Parts: sequence; C-alpha cells; structure tokens
Amino acid sequence: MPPLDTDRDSTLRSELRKRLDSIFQEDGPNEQKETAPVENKNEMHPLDSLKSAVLSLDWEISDEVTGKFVEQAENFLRRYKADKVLSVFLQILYALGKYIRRYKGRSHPGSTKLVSTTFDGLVKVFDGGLSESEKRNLLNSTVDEFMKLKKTIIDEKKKVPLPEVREVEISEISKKSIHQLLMELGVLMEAEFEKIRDEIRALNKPQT
Amino acid sequence: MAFINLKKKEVQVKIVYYGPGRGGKTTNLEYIFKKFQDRIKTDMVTIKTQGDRTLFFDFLPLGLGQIKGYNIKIQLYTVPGQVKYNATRKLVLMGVDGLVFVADSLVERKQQNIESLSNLRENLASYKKDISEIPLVLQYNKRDLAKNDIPLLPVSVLQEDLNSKLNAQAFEASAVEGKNVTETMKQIIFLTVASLERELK
Repeated sequence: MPPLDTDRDSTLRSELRKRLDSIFQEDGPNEQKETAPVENKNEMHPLDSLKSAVLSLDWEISDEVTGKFVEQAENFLRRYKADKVLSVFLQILYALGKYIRRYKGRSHPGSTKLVSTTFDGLVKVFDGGLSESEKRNLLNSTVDEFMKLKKTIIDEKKKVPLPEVREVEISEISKKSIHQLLMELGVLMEAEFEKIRDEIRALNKPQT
Repeated sequence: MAFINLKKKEVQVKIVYYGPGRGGKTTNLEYIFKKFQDRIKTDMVTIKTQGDRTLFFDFLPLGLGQIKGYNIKIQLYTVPGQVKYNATRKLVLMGVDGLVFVADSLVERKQQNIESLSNLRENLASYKKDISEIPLVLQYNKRDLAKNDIPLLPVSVLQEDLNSKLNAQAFEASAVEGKNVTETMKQIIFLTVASLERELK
C-alpha cells in the first residue's frame, strides 16, 4: 500500500502558514539578534470582538448584548462571505443571535449553548490546521445541532396547548398572539435553515 | 483582483501598506527587506524626495514558492502618506488584494489616522470596493516611543477610533525595532492568499 499523501489532505491555509513561518522565521541561526523583535506580541485575534460578544451573551441576555452580538455576527458575515465554510458558521451564529434577541429570556436554553459550540468550531476552522474532511465534519455536525435545536423549539411550541383549567383563562387575543408567535418563529428558523442548506449544497457540489 | 494564471499556475497578489504620512509604512518594508534579503533574493524599489519622504511608492516583490501547485508571488507596496499625494495613493490602490493600515500611535496623530482611514475608504469606493470586504490588518506603530515618555494613544483608543466597525486583526508594533513587523506581513499575506482559496482549487 502506498504511503498516505498527507500533503494532499492538508489545506491551502495550513500549507501557507507553514511556508510563511519557514521563510520569515526571525529567530533562525542566520538572524542578527539585534534586529530581532524582542518584546511580546500583544497580538489581537481577529475574532476577539465576536468572542467577547459570545461571552457577554453567555452572561447576560439584554437588548444591548444581543444587539451587539447580532451586529458583530453580521459584520463578520460580510467580511468572510467569500469563504463558504466560515460563512455557514457565521450564518448559524447570526440566526441564533436574531432568535435570542427576539425571545430573550424565553429563548431555548440550548440556543446560547449552541452559540458557544458554533463559535468554537468557527475558531478552529479560522485558525487553519484542519483538513478539508475535518472541516466538513465539523461543519456538518454544527448544522445538525442547529437543525436539532430548531426542531426541538418548534416541537415544544406545538406541545404548548395549555392545561384545560388554564385554557379558560386565556383570551382569544392571547391565543392568537401565541399562534402568531409560533408562526413567526417557524418562518424565521425555516428561512435561516434554507439559507444554510443552500450553502451546504454548494459546498458538497463537486468542484469542476 | 489577484492575477491568477491557470496555465502557468502562477498567482500574483498585491498588498498595499496605507496610512498617514510619517507613520512608518516605508520603515516596515525596509525592515522586511533588510531582515530577509538573503531569503527573498529581490530588490526593493523606492522613490523618495529630497526630504527622504516617499514620493511615489515603495515596492517589494516576494516569492513564496509553490503552494498547492501554484507559484505564489507577493507584491508589497506603500503609498505616500502626505495628504497632497492622493492621486498617487489612488493609483497604487488599483487592483489591491490586501491592506495593512499603519496607524501612528502618537497622541497628536489621532486625527490624521482617522482621516487617512476615511481617505482609504473613499479611494477604495472609487474602485467600487468596500473596505470591510478586503483582507485587512491594522498596525499600531511606534509603540516603542512609550519608553521615551512620549505620550501615545492607548491601544483601546486606537481600536475604538479605527477598528470598532472593521474588526480586523491588529498588532502593536515598532517598525524601527522590527517588533511585529514580520507578524503583520505574515498575517496579511495569509489572509489575502487564503481569500483566494476557492479560485485555487
């Protein structure tokens, strides 16, 4: 059996990182020590601002925090729209953000948890070093989680028919608004899901 | 737009260092050239005025060799920072693939940084390009001057002034000392070439 061609599996990003590190290595034996940078990097990760919005959301769900999170997700979505994998992760974050912003304390507890795991996946893909198949697996499992949550939310809302004793207390207006709420949620999640499904379809399409 | 020659399997990427005058754009390129001269084996082209200011642009070509079967060539440019040379800046920006905005950390340069970034947006807009859609790295230069008790803008202020909407990666740097000059360059090359990933498959 021939040896595995690891180069073929590695992504352009990881190859690029390795090449840049090897050409522009500053601490090599040929370097003049006096010109080498000596202090710490103080580097800021490009996803830092989104990370801080994710952490804030985990701590507090307010208009300000959810608004900031949606804004950040939208900004990043615009910036990385050319990268199909990153943009699917960001679309999920954007969709979850919009949902949490709308329903706040009433949003499903799984939604904030999914924000954190989706963000972790986004960072892994962003930093490179994953093979194409690893990226795809990560993306697919995140999309699956998102679909599962969507289904759970819709199912739970459907089950909501209130106990009979309380039913008499609910006015026609309240019933209508609950129904309206359910319909809106369904439409919102369906639209976001359709967008993500299109992206996945495009990604799975064999390259010509 | 990057020049991709599918027949010759060659990719040419243009990266421009932008920012206010005397901010350290040329010093960035000079550092890279001096530091890696032996490895990159190219010449740096620079056109200066008598006062040692960049008149037209600095140009430093780099070769990364073959990656995924493509020969990757990088062209680093600077623009003249002085306000009066906007026509030149606009010209150098033509076909840009990635940007480094070199901000000056001196307190008195706060306004010039903001104006230069705004000028960059305008010049890109004239090519129907949106700054938020181009690979971008910010560099907060001259951080070494803090050692000499020269008042510098805190990084949080620079972030607020320049990066609150852009969310670009930012480095604190000292071009004269070489601190984070290479990191800035590596990151912008990485982001720019990675943005072409789809075209290179």
